[in-house]
Amino acid sequence: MIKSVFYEACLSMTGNKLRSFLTTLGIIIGVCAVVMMVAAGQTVQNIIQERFVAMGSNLLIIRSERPKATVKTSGPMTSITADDAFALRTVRGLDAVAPILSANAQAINGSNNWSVSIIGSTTEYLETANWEIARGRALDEEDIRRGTTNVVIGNEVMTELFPYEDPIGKTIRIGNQPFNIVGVFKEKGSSTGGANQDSSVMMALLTVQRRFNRFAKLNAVNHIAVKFSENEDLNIVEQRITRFLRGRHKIKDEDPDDFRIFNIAEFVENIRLVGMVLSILLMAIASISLVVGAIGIVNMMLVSVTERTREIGIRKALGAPNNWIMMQFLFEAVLISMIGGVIGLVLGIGLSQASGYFYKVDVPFSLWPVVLSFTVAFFVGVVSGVFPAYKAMKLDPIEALRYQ
Amino acid sequence: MTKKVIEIKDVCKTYFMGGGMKQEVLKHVNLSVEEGEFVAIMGPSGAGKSTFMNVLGCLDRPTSGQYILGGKEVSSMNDNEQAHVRNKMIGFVFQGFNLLMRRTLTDNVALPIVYANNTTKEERLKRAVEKLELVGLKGFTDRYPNQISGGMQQRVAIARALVNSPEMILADEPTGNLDSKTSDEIMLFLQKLNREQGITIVLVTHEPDIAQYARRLVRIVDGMIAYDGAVKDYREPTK
Repeated sequence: MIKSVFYEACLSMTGNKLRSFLTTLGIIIGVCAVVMMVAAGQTVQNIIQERFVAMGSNLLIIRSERPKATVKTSGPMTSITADDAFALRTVRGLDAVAPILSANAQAINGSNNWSVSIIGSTTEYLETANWEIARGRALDEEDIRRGTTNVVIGNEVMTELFPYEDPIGKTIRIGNQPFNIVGVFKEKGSSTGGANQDSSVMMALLTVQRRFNRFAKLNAVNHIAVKFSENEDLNIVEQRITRFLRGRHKIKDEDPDDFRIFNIAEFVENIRLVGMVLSILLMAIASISLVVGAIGIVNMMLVSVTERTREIGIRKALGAPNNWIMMQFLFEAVLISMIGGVIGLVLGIGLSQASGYFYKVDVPFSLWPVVLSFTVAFFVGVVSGVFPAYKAMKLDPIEALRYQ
Repeated sequence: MTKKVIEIKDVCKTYFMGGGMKQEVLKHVNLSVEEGEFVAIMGPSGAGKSTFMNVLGCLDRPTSGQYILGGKEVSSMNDNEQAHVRNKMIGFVFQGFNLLMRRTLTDNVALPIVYANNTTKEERLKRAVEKLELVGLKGFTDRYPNQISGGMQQRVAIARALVNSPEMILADEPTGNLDSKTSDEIMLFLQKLNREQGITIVLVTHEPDIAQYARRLVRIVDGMIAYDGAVKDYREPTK
């Protein structure tokens, strides 16, 4: 019976090619949109993840955290200090420890000015940030220790403020104070957080603390970046740091930490979640076109049932059981939907790969949009076919035979 | 003793209209048809001929009374059981041929076997071609209905009616869409089927000329049987 029903469905579908095609088009567009949105969501997620991984999976960020329900202090949280960073160097397994204090200011060279973010840190900053010097030199131990006015500028700061000249050795005014440029960073692009790293200026931690410190406390830092050895285990390193800092801060056993350690794996996990929500949102939007496509099928099938009323009458008179008639129309709807699903899938994968090629991004190819679009197409077919098929089944053969 | 194909006992059909109105279309009809008979059912329009034919064809159920077809009580069956009865026991021949236009003649003839659902495709096609040969359409098997004449189409319909070896052929105005010459051909062919193969035929018509091909005549007037006897003994009532 299945074979005969399938044959009937194929015949009636090819009977009106244009109409079947237009109906299928609705599903094609719907499935194509869903597949493309899934691919887009995954691509964005992958790119973000890649950037984080490029930052190094062996990077930790230590931030101050006000313990809950303890002494209420106003102002920023400053439990983590530059001294902590220097002390952390003694902890086993850490390759680089960089205390970081940042600020924002306006940088001026002659008539050019540019808004820059100031990074105050130590020599080890370059290693934790995976950053290199393109021209000139990095800040050395001398600069850091004495808190000199030597700075290293980002690529964009150079192009904006020194479009026609070599900035090395030049003087630049940052926050109305003169600084001496000793080096230029390599171009890096915007960071994952969205900030443009190429518009930053690095100077000695001491210099930022003295000249740009918004916190009254001299030793204040925003956070400490820690890079640990590749062959160390993340959890063990975190435990060591926690134990060390708790000891240093003289925290009693029953009290909570006054700092918090963030790791890249955690960031990546968060980003993955955000990406997933994004994907689902995009898919939900794309699904609307799928719903419209399904309505198209319902519409076509209803027209088809009306058009073929007489045929249904003949079939019933010749002894077609009710479920046969129902299956015939249901199959047709499912077939149209499934064909649309396959074409939409191929088109969606093709288009997303093509645009990936065009924008030079790796678009991941995964199996689940395939499974998804097949199941969705099947159910769309069933759902949109069920009502017209039921209508066909319920036709009275006497009335149907009389229908012209 | 010959077998009874149709036994209709005290059948009534009443349509209930809104507001308590009702219309009795068939009033206590009794009829029995034996195997090998050729019965013409006649009557003026509005006399209940169509309703009677729908009941006979298992397309409709009587309001009361019994209908025994080939030894089975069919009037109380559900839709699917009735569909099965139509498929196996009744061969329909309609006024408008009612062939599927987009199917070959063979496919059309084979359609009832498809619904019987117990044969292979080869078997179906073989039986369909056999019946097409029987009605004289050998060599037209792969044609489509719109490529042949009306008379030929009606012969295809007869082949389709015969394909499941039914208890009877129920022909509803089979010549209504045909010219008189072709009508004669079709009626002669039905007569031949009845005489040579002993197939029971019930013919519904309003044309006395066509009814002449049958042997027995049943005349329905106002939902009741007004005449039941040999065709040759029947005289038109004088108006």
